Amino acid sequence: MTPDAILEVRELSKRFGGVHALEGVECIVPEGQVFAVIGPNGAGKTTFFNCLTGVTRPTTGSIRFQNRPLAGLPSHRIAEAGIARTWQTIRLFEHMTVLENVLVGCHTRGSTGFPGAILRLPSQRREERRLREAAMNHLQRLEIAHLAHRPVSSLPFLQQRRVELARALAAEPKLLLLDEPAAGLNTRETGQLGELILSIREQGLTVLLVEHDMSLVMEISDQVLVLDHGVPIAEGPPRQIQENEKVIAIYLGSEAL
Amino acid sequence: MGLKNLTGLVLLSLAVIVLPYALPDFYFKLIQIGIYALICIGLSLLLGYAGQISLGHAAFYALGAYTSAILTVRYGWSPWLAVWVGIGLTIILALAIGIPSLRLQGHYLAMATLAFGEIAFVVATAWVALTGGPSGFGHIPKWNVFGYRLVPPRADQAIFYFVWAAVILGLLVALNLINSRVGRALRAIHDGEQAADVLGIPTATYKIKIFVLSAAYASVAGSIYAHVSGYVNPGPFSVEHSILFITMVIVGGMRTVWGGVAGACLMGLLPELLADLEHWRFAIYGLILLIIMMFIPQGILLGVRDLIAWSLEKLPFRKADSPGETE
Repeated sequence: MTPDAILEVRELSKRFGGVHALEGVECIVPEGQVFAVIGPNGAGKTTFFNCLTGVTRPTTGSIRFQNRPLAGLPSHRIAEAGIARTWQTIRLFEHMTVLENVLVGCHTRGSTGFPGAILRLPSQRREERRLREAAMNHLQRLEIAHLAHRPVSSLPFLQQRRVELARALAAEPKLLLLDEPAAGLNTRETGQLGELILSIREQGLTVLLVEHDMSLVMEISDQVLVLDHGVPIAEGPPRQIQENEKVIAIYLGSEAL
Repeated sequence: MGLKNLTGLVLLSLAVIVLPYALPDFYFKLIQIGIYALICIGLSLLLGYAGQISLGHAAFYALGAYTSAILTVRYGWSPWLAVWVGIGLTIILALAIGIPSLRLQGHYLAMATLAFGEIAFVVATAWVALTGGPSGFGHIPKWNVFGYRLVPPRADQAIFYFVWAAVILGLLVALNLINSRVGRALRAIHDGEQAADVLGIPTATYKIKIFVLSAAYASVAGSIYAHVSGYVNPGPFSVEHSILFITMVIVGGMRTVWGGVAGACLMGLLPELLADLEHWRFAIYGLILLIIMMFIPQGILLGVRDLIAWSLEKLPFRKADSPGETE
């Protein structure tokens, strides 16, 4: 494995029946970078994320995370290894409060099982206090601490987005996958999101970003991978990608449609 | 576990202590209801917190009852030991049913438990040498609690206290579980299995464990039933009873374990309260259940809470108060 690479994907393919959602995707994500995956709709970006998080099983190919093979592992093992994600369409636990959602995000940071919970052992209570404190810190960071005890379903879309991000950060992952985090945001909000992603990177997290907002991608990414119909067509720093003729053709082509 | 639940437990305990004195002609009807409530607490953990349906809880109830009956009558064991054997057998069987059916997504558990419930009922009826067949067997020794033998009818009060102490303990265990990392994980699974899995929750393992715990509640209830009634036969353990338990949980409200207790009480008492209506009572009983299911889908417990909250908001005295606050 390349030194300093946190994630290494080789020959990754995913077929649904006759549909090739991903075909021969390769990438090396260096630790501590913002790595963007872009491409027109249907390019396989979300399928790529699903393969990385064990939501779907890749048909062929290898995924190595911190030098450990991940392909084929169930999602909860991948989460334990240190990968967290958000979803393109928000998937919060709708019958729970904001704080409870973030506490579920802390799941891998705790260890209380059935006996400890039933007997309410002192170790369990200590752990609960610790997790609550950590969860509140994540809420504060995203400026939604005042909403902690609100049912999550009562919040407007933008704040639900933040809760989902807080929940992913609460897992204290090493690699954070963001699936179109700027969807539905206005320019100012997108700017704030960009700053937030950069501050997450400052802390040493690696961010893998699927995004349609090109100005955001070009501004904050260290490296960009372009997919088209599941096939990687270009990879490089943002400036290089902006000038890549194949990429321009795809985007102009799709816009011309 | 939060002030609300603690208050609830204290109030319930006080009510249990006072009831035999306040309603001496009535309270003993709550003995069987308490046994149902214990099953329903376990079932609401499975149904309301993990979103899984068991159509075989009457069979686990039977397993506890028959294990206790057989070990105490045939082998002279202490009831206190027999309960644990019942729990042990239940855990083994629940694992055998749960592991294959809960590893798959979908309602395979409902089908597997339905089959198990039918098989258990047939075994209880047909394996005469072991279970006494359709006529069952009696002379099951009574519980011996701190030197007191709980013998009806003189000891109805002691039995009542014993059963409801078990209910309160069952509630305490369930509330502790819910208000913990484990409980949050279960609720997360109910709301979104994939999202929960991606956050590091081994969903299949959690569902299997909560199913086993839920079955253990029914088994303990069965053991208590055997020693309280002194007699077992297959009648109270049919699949219809499994469905009755589910109905109790839904009527009471499945998003809180208190709902199991409320549902068992309401559905257990309704036939009694409607007894004067003679043959009309079944129609009225059905109508009341239908109305609850249609108009209070969250169950009577949360329904009543919402009603109180609503009336506090709407009633005129509230409006008269608010200008005063601004002064």
